[in-house]
Amino acid sequence: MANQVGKRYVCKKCGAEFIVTRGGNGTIHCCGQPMEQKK
Amino acid sequence: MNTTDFLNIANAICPDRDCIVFDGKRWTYAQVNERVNQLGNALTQLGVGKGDRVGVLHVNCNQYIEAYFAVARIGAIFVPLNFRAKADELSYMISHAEAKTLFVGNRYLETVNLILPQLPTVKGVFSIDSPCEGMGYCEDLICSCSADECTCEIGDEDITILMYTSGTTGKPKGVPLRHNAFVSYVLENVDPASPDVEERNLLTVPLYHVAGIQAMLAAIYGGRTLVLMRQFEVKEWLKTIEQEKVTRAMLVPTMLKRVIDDPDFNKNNLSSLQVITYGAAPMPFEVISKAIRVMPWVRFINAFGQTETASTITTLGPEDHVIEGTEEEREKKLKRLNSSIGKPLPDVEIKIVDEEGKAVSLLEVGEILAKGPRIMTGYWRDEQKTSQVMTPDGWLRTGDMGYMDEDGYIYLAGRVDDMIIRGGENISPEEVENVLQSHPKVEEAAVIGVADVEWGQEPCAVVVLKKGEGATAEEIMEFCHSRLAGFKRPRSVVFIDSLPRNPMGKVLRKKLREHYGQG
Repeated sequence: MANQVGKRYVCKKCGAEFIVTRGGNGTIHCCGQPMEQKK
Repeated sequence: MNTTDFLNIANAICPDRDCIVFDGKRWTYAQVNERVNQLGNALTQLGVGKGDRVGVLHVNCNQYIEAYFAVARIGAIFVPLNFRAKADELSYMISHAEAKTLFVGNRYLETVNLILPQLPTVKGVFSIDSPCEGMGYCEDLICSCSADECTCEIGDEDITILMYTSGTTGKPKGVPLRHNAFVSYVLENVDPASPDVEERNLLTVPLYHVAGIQAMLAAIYGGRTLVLMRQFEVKEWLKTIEQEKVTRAMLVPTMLKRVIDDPDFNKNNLSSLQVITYGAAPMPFEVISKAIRVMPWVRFINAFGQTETASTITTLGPEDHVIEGTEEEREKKLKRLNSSIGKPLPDVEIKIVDEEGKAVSLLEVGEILAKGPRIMTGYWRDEQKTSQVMTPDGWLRTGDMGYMDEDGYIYLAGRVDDMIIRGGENISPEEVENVLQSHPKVEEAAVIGVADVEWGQEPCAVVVLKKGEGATAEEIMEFCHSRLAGFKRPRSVVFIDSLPRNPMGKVLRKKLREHYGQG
């Protein structure tokens, strides 16, 4: 999953939220699973 | 997180987007970020360090915002100064803050030079608009230094702004505002910058006021374009909304009234406007009703707060400005529009207490107290005034009276200091003023307590009539007769040409009491 600048990602397990300030090709993980893009 | 991250994040997400538009010029987020770094590095070279105070005395301009972020980045404390303050007030604030460096708009340099001998802590004064003999120039500072990122270890509890608020009595009080106070607000209430969303904020509220600072910080975090006006001027405001396709604006009530009453109102295309936030003073019902009527596409938000709460702590949202629904719902909404300040924001706790500090019941009037990360921990170097407003367990006494209804909406019932007490019964001036202002001949009104031997105080209406209208005191009092409980009705009426107000539009009841309050 490509991480796009400005998109927010949320961890469904713990609720932590990240905002991407520089995109990359990797996937953001939290609590052992990929984070989901916040709609 | 701290306030410098607002600019960092927005710059990372939308560097090429306009950040500031001022005086026909534009700076992108990348350009502002660069200038901020340059200025921050320059200040460091001048010996300004963590905790040092840096003052700015000017109307709104791009350098004001750049100076804020530069000062914040090096961990220093920003002191925005009221450009309307007289020389002795300025001297007091700058010495009380022990400011080390001052940035001054050229039109204020004469005043600053006059008081400089009284300011031994000030080591450097820099003009903002153009070079001036005998002192440094802001742009030279910026150009003299690299744009390498300047950073400093900043704690959440570190102070970022020292803002002076003038109460109605005594000297201005210094309110230290922490990074955390603003971070808490934006994280809960503002969407961060997005490459897909472009908004444009028109900032006319002065940056020396907490409402101006909050609006600026929210806009930067949100990656919005900030269109600056030096000061509010209604025709320029109307023109700028159209030309810059502004989507959001913040206005105090007197500004909004001037906008909607202006003969040129319909000559400008204001269709880009999406949101108008208002606050800093009570909004007359007639003004907001007319604004909703003439700008039905705009979402209105009433924002209530104080300097001591780092601005907004309650809001009456857009949905409460749309009067629709069943008869009962419409009546509720009209009542809210008339005098409610809405509900607390998610990061704020509110309680309403009696004179003994005990929580009052619903619908019962008491003093509004607030708690949370936004609240100041105490006034700058003034333990006595701090102890008057902060309870031992960290609640701020706002000085505003109010009550809460069964739906959680808070209604204002005047200031503690302005409350009229007649025969042991409290009379809220605002409640009586709302009635007076609904009289077809009344432009505006204020109610004060006049000393009375029998009752302690009697309410007196100070009335400004509409142009061309005439009315008698009896007429005004008769109007109140059927609309107010007996003890609340004004016992006397004074007619004047205009109400004394502070620059933010708040009626100065203390001045009225000085003139008319002796009975």
